[in-house]
Amino acid sequence: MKVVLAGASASLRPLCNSFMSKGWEVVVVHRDRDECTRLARDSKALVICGDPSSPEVLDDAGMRDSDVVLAATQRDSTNLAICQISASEFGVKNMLALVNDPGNEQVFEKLGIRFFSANAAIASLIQQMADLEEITGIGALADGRIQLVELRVQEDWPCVGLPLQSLRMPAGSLVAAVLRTDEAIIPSGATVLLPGDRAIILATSESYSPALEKLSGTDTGKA
Amino acid sequence: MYAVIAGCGNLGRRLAEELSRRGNEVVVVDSRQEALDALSPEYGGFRMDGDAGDVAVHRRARLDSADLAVAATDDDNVNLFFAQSARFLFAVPRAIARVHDPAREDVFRRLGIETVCPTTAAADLMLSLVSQAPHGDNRA
Repeated sequence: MKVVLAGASASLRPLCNSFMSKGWEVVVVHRDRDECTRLARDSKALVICGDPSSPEVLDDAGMRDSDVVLAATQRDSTNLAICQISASEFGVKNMLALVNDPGNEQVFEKLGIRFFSANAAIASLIQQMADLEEITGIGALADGRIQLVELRVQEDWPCVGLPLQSLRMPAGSLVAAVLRTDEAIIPSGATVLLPGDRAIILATSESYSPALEKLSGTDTGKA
Repeated sequence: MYAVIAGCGNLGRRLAEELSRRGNEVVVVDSRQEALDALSPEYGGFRMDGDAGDVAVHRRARLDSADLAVAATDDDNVNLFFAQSARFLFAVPRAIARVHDPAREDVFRRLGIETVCPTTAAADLMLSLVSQAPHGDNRA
């Protein structure tokens, strides 16, 4: 299996490693030289520095014998071009495009290109979690990069009765406040969560699911 | 005719001014205000501040009722995106895209988009000039 990741940024580096661990051949194409240097240092993937929507660059990346292409640059128009050039010039059968702006999904649909949307993924995740009754208040800050959640702590949760410092909350997440009956507590490491507490959680979008999982013990984030 | 033009650089601006002068209804889309400001005072069409790589902008430009869409930005991918959105999402009868990279011209054509590549067009024109007897050549 050979996979080409076009424009894959830092967040896709773990993906790259996980494909390699399956024994797949992975090629990363990125136009930023610094990012290429980091990728080449941190992974064993073949890294090609160049415009991932250029037919010549894609040819260099070995697109001819690739099985899967993931187009994940920050520009939807570039992702569309990568998928279409891969199909029409190199006969690639499986393409997946990242759609950054949900308003642009229709074009990909119309042209029959499979896509995923970061916003949709996060929205469905939140929706799914909002379906759990314990999660009552949800907001987002900094264009969705930071999630704000209010959890009603349940008695069967693994976090109950433990000082926060021993919970080892995932990096990028924080129990920012605890509301207990009439009391508003800004917690320290020694603060202990009790059933019925409302815990206000602040987390980056990456740490959001691990943080909820850590507190509630359920696997809600792995959808 | 109602024409939507993406990109108000030298090419887009010239097209917009000319189509408007010939009595067509024209909208030019560009995210650079200074590019829109460069349109001549005689230009009688509309100007729209927006990104040609954004379907919401296409909708705002009423691409669904356009007879012609011209993609003339300086980004080939945006031009392809705009032209295909016009053709296949908004069912515009004609979509023409400028392509800078000659290597992509065939690709775009195979995808059903009419293309103009300034580099190949200029080269063809120069070659045809070269094969003709030059004007003002007194040596013969």
